[in-house]
Order: sequence, then structure tokens, then C-alpha cells
Amino acid sequence: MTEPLVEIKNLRTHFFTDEGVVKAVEDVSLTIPRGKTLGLVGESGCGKSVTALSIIRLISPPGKIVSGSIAFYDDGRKIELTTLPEAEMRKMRGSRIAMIFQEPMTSLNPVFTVGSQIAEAVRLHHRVSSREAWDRAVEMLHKVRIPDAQRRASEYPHHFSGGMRQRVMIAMALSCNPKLLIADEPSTALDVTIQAQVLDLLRDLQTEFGMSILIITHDLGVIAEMADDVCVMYASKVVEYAPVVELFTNPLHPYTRGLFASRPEPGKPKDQKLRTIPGVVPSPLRFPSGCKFHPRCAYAQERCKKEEPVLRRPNLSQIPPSHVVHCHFAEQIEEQEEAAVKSV
Amino acid sequence: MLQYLVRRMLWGLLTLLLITFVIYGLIRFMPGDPALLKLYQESSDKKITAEQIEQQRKMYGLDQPFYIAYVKWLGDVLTGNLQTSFAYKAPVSSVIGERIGRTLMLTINSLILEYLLAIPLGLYFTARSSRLDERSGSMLLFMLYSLPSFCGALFLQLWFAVYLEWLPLHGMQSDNYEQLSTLGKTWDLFKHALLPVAAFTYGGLAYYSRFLKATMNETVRQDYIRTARAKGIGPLKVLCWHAFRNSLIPLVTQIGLTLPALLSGAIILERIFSWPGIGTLFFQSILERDYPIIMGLVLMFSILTLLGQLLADVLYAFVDPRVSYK
Amino acid sequence: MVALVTIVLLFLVALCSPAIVGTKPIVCNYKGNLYFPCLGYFNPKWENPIFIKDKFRGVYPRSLKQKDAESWAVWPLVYQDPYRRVKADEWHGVPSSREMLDNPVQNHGKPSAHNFFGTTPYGVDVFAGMVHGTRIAVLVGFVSMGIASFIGITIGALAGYFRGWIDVVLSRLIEVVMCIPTLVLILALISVIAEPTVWHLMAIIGVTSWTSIARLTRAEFLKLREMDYVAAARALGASHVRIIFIHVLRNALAPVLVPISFGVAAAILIESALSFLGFGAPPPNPSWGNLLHLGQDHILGKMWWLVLFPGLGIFLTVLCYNLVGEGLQEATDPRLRQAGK
Ligand SMILES: Nc1ncnc2c1ncn2[C@@H]1O[C@H](COP(=O)(O)OP(=O)(O)O)[C@@H](O)[C@H]1O
Ligand SMILES: [Mg+2]
Repeated sequence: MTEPLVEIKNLRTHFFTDEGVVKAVEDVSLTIPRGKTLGLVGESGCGKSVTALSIIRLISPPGKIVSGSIAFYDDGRKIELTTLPEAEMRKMRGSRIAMIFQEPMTSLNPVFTVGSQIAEAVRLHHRVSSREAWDRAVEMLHKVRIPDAQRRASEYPHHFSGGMRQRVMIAMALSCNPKLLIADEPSTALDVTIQAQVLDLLRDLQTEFGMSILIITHDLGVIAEMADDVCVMYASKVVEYAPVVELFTNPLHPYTRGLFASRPEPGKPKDQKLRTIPGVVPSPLRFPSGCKFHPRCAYAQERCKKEEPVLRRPNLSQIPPSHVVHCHFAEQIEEQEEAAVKSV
Repeated sequence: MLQYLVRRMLWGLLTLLLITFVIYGLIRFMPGDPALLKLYQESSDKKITAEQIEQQRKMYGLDQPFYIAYVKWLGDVLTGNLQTSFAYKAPVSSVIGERIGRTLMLTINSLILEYLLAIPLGLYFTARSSRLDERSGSMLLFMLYSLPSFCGALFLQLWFAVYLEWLPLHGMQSDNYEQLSTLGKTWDLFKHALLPVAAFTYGGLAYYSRFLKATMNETVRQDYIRTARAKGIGPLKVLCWHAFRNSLIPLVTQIGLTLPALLSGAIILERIFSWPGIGTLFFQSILERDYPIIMGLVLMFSILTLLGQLLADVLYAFVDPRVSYK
Repeated sequence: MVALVTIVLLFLVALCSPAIVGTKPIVCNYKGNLYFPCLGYFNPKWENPIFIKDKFRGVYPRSLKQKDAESWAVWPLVYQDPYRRVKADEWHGVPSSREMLDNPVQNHGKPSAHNFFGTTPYGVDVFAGMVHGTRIAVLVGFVSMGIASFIGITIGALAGYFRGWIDVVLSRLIEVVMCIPTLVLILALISVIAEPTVWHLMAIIGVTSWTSIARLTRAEFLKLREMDYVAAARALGASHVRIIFIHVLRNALAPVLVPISFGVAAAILIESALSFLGFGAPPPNPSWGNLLHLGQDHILGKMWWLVLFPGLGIFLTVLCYNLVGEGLQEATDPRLRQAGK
């Protein structure tokens, strides 16, 4: 296993709203390996973005990191992000940890030219003249394959299309050589062809710059294309965590199984209906007791309603130790399903 | 841009014609005859002959129906002649010109003060959003905003001029103004202007800082603010550079729209403080039925309003790169 | 919330003003009949003719006793009059130690146990004037905004609903009216009227302050006319008038209430400003602006109560309506509503 860049342990982030405490992230632990990509997948509202914002410490009130630790390994030093003073954290943002967001249309400031927005990030973390910063901005725009970068650097965001703006965002994020790039649904708001281009670009830039990526998505296709490890979240919790090939061959948690089953696949016979996961995501203000997935789970039993499972290695011979799951009955379900497949 | 401006100007001229026509019609229907009024004031024995009246009416152009008189007035205006004031027996333009500086002295100073104070206040309140000092400060601003300027002006007069006797109650100059040195003159003027400027300023100050705070609250929730913070920019710079630059857009359009209020807002306050400016002039002209003056002022107010709107548009294009009138 | 309660209170005060303070009995039994002379404060014609015939001359307590020993009366809470100076021998309970037994005049009329808010230079009770002045404040707000809403909603609805050239013409009209400084227009209009009354004032304020209502209504209609239920209603053959007033207006009403509420505040402000300038309701009418005007005239006499109390009255009323408007705005603006969550 490669050494970790970021290690999150038992992170809890809550929003103290007027209607009650929204436990957006509960007891999440994950590791982002150096130079690799971790995919974070789950339905919208399950706490992916909040996890990401917790890493870069941009949770705004009424939200707060309640407990847990986020360790960032920088040149052999361990930096604890949750307790880092705000001034120090600010130096981390942009230079070590950068982030791009889902909405390229609104994520750039409309009143500044794109070049100046990138140059601003450069000047913030490096002692360079504005001339040099501008050159760096143009170079970055060139790197994200924006044609005629020299001229376009002095244009305003509204002159760019959605895909182009996302490229600008990427250029801005990478302008200071960060160790970690957090990409929160970077392609969700884009057209399919543009999506593929942006993802390709991200991958190519990863080989060039060597940064780690935390990619957030609800699209398993994106995961398959980008991720090395996958972390599946459901209702503020990690429910399954495995290397990407392992997860795609052996999904264990009923929720992960549901995700795969609800995916249209060209091989499947057309008359067979897509299986969907019944029910809806529970409101974070009123989570069910026990395992939070039990109201929607086909395999749910009495124990699931009372007792919250822990994230554990399943007792199955073919499963490698790096695969963990958050289910009481992972083994039994696997046996049932195997049997069902054989009997067909 | 140019084409857009020209189109706006043409519409503006049409609007101007309509307004002046309506007002001209209205004032001609006012009861009370300026000719009669004038003769009555002037004649020592208070005996006026019908002949005299007729003559005077002819002189004022009151013998014609109002639309003909209006066309005549319009023609005069187009040749740059605003006609002659009944009461002052001087060209309207010079009567107004003499007083406009005094009004502007109040209003421009207070406008500058308003902005100088409102911008930091608005930014401060955005930064301290929903803390105790912000809540109480905002409530105070809301109360100032709801305190009518004439009430506020009276309170100020009562306290500072009558009870404390720190400042003169009204007027623009002391009786011994002419004998004072240059420095003394300035000081005297300053003392007289202090209360009116304060009364002018507080309402606008409250309005603008509330306005700025509202737009800033909207702006700081935008995605690009989050982007800026993710770059590692400090909170102060995010607020004053990234957010404020965007909130400036609605703010500058406000500047244009308040241009006419610079003068019309003066009507009440100048009367309270007996400040010999445009407001007082307008007030007296209405009482004395001094048609040419009223029309001159109405024309000026309307032109200012239209110019203000135009200015707002131009400034808008200037501060918002997304806008271009093509 | 507090603002709403205060406004309701203001209404109650306006409605019950003759019962709170006045010199005319609320109810009296005179020569065997029941009368309600206090209604005379609302409209002089409602004061029963019998009292004029019997030469009461507005002074009830003594006359009632003299002319009919059997008579009884229920008096207002405070015996003071908004129109005239109350004489010393009119009403019992004036302490004999006081030198001046009439309502004091000039700057002797400080607030006291008998004149809560002091008296005007002519010895008229300020408290009585304030209480009776609420009637004008409330009326001005409602009548003028009623007129303004009617004009504004009609024009805005027509422009927003029919669009096309109607919209162009009406929008221009709105713009033109917005260009004229309100105060200038109002002053010009008032001077046209020979003897302006409160009613004229309300009408003029009404016809000059409808633009913001019209603009908002137009915007709402432009938005709402695209909604499915409008198409559905049209498919069912509903007439334009029906669609405008039943279907669309009902949905547009909540946001349109916002400028109306701010408008009420502005109307009250303008009325008091006009009264203050001497263009308002003719003097015998008790109006806050008139009292303030007296206060300014006599400011050198240090009669602070003449400035403070009417000023506070105007201020609080305007503040309350503004608060209500602000509350409405927060409740109807979806962006703000989201932010609140
Ligand atoms: N500012 C906030 N205030 C209150 N609740 C919030 C806030 N931001 C996020 N949440 C809650 O946190 C939960 C997780 O949100 P998020 O991480 O954005 O989901 P997603 O997985 O789609 O990115 C959601 O249920 C949301 O309601
Ligand atoms: Mg999200």
C-alpha cells in the first residue's frame, strides 16, 4: 500500500440549525493515498460535500467539525487540520489543498478576468511579481487546453462556456501545485462529451503534477474511470470502502448492490426492468434507529432496526483485507446472492 | 452603447415634454392670479383698476390659453431663455443659479458623508452578521431610516440649537457675517450648515448601509466567494475585494437614481432651517404663483431625474463587465 | 410581531379616540332620551341637533346639569379637548392650589397630570390632539394606499398580463410618473385645489404613489401568466377579467402587499410633512403634522413637548409599517426565505 496523504479518523461535522442538529457527517474515516485518487460516491445529501469542505475547513456556521481528526502528511510532517489555526489553514488552502466545485457557471467571480483570478491565487502563495503571476496564469490556462490562452486570460468568465469555466477552475486550483485536489462533482453540471473531456484532463494533469485527487460524484461511471479506491457513503456514514476493482466485482453492502443494480447496462436484456432502491434518503434530522439503511433494505432483520453496525472486514475468504463494509449480515447476503446466481 | 444612449435620450426628451406640459397645465389651474397678487403687493393704496390687471396679465402671458402659453414657454426654453420671474423680476436662470450652489453645498456634502460612512458600516455589519453588535446596530439603522427627516431635523434643532445653544437655529449666515475674516466666515458657514447636513445625512446613511448590507448578504452566499476562500484568501480581502466589488454594481446604480433627491429632498429641510436655497425658492414660488420659476425648477428636477437614470445605466455598464448595450 | 400589535392598537385608538379623550359624553341621558354626543368628533353632523338648539356650545358637563337635573352621562377617560382650551370650571378634579385653573398657555403648558403631553400655546391639550390625530394617520394610510393600490394593481396587471404594446405604453407611463419628484407633484396638485381638506390630500397622495405597486404587480404578472393554471383556466374558456382577478391576482397578492405596506408608511409621512409645511389639513383638524408645525413655530419658547410627542407619534407609526413591510418582504421573497433556513 502507498503511504497516505490525508488520513481522516472518526470525523463528525454537524449543523446546528434552528430546526435541530443536522448530523451531516457521522464518524467518517478514510484515507487518501499519495498520488492516487479516492472516489467518494453516494446519493445527494449523504454528506459528501460536507466531508470535502471539512477537509479544507470551509464549513460555515451553523456548521462545525464536532470531533475527529484530519491528518495531512506534508514532506514527512504530520499536520492536524482540525486544530490548525485559521491563519495557518489559509496558507494550506490553495497551496497544498485546492478545490473545484460542481457549478462552473457560478464559481468564478463575474467581475474579474479569469487570468487575474488565477494570478491572484499564485500571488497569494508565492512571492512573485504580478507579471510573473500573469504568465503563470496563461501557462496554466494553456495546460488545461484552453485555446488561445494568451488572449482569453484577459476575458471575463461570462465569455466562457460551462466546460471552459470548469477548465479555468482546474487551472486555478492547480496553479500552486497542490498536493491534494478536491473535485466536488466536477462534471455533474456538464454535457456528457464535455464531462469526458474534463475527466480526461484531470487524469492527465494528475500524471503531470502528481497530486492526489478526492473525487466526489454520484456517478459510478466516473468512479470506474477515475478512482483507485472507493468510499461509498449513505446517510452521513461510510457504508463500504474498497479498491475500485474489488468494489466493482464484489459489492457487499445492500446499498452498494442497489447502486449497481439500478445502473442501466448495455448487456442487460431490455425487457428486464431496472431495479431501483425503494424508498427515499432519510432526512438528516430524523434518521432511523439502528442501521440507517434498514427501512430501504431488502435483507433487513430485527437486529438491523436496533443495532447500528460497525465498519468491519467481512468474514469471507475471497474478500481482501482492504475491503470493509458497514453491515451486520454481509456474509449471509453474499451467500444468498451466490446461491441465487447459481440457481439461475 | 452610443445607439442605446441616443435612444434613451430621445425617450427622455419625450418624457420631459410630457411632464412639463402636465405641470404647466396644473399650475395654470391653480387658484390665485399672480398678476393680481403682484399688483396688490405693489400698489400703495390697494386700489387696482381692471385696466392695470389686464396689462399685467398680458405682460405675464396669462391672457392666452395655457397650451399656447406652454408652446411659447417651450420655444423660449429651446432658445435658452427660461423667461423672467414674476417675483424677482430677473431671469429665472439667474435666480435659480444664485441659489443652487447653496443647496448643493448641503446635499453634496451630505451625500459624500453618507457614502463615506455607509460603506464601512455596511461592510462591518456584513462581517459581524448576526452577532449582538450587528443586530443592535441594524435595528438602530432601521429606526433612523424610519425617522422622517423633518422630525429628525426638529429634534436636532431643539436639542443643539435651543437647549444647548451650541449651533445657530437657522439661516445660512450670522448677522455680522460681512464683518468676519475669511476664516471666520468659513467657520460661521460651517456652524450654520452642520445641523442641516446632519439632518440630510442620517436618513440616507441608514438607507445606504442597509442597502449595502442586504446586497452583501446576498453576495457572500455566492459560489465564487467560496471559490475565493478555497484559494486561501483572508476573510477581510474576500469581503472587501471579491464580495464588495460585486455589491458595487447595485450600489452605483443607486447613486444615479438619487441624483434628483439631491434637490427635491431639500424642499422640507431648507424650510425648517430657513436655508436660502432651491427648496425655499420652490416653496415660495408656489405660494406666490411665480410660474416661470416653478416651471424652471420642474424642468431642472425632471432633467436631473432623467440624467440620473442615464448615469445609472452608464455606471452599470462600467462596473459590470457582463453588461454592454449593443 | 410587535409592530403588528402596535398597528392594531393604533387602529383601536383611532376608533375609540372620542371615548379615550374628549369633552363630549360617550352616552348621556338628556330629557329622557339617550344620546351619543361623542360621535360629533367623527363628523360634526352626527352630534345631535338638540344640543345645539339648547345652546350647549360644546360645553357639556355644566349644561347637562343646568338644563336637566335628572340627566346622567358616561364621560371619556380623560376630559380634554383636541379643538379648544378647557376652562377651569368646566370639570371637577382640578386642584384648587393651582394658580391657573384653565389649561395653561404658552410655555407654562408643560406636561402635567392634567395635560399628559402638555398644551399648545393656545392651551389646547396635546394629548387630546395626538389621540384624535390617529384618526387622520390611520385614514391617510388606508385611503391613499387604497387608491394607489387600485391604480397600481390595475395598470400593473394590464401591462403584465397582456404584454405587447399595452405593456410598452403602460411601462412608459409608469416611468414618466416616476420621473416627477413626488413632493413637487403633490405640492403642485395641492395648490390647484382652492380649499384642500384631508380627503383631497389622501386622494393626491394616492394618485401620485402607485408606481412601485404597479411595477411589482407587472413583474409578478409577467411571471405568473406563464404558469400552468393560467393556461388551464384559459383552456376552460375563462374570460381575461376572470383570469386576471381570480387566478393570477390571488397569487400575486402576497408580494404586492410589500410595497403597499411601505406605501402606507410613506403616505403617513407625506401627510404629516404636508401638514407640517402648512399645506395639510386645515388647522382645526388635529393632525400630528399640524402639532409639529406649532412646535416649530414656537421652538424658541422651549416647548419641547410640542416637538417630541407628535414627532415620536409619526416616527413610531412609520417604523411599525416599515417593520411590517420588511417582515412581509422576508416572508414572500424566496431567496431570503431560503437564507433564513
Ligand atoms: N449550511 C447547511 N446548513 C444545514 N444543513 C446543511 C448545510 N449544508 C449541508 N447541510 C446538510 O448536510 C447534509 C449533507 O449535505 P451535502 O454534503 O451537501 O450532500 P452531498 O452528498 O449531496 O454533497 C444534507 O442533508 C444537508 O441538508
Ligand atoms: Mg454535494
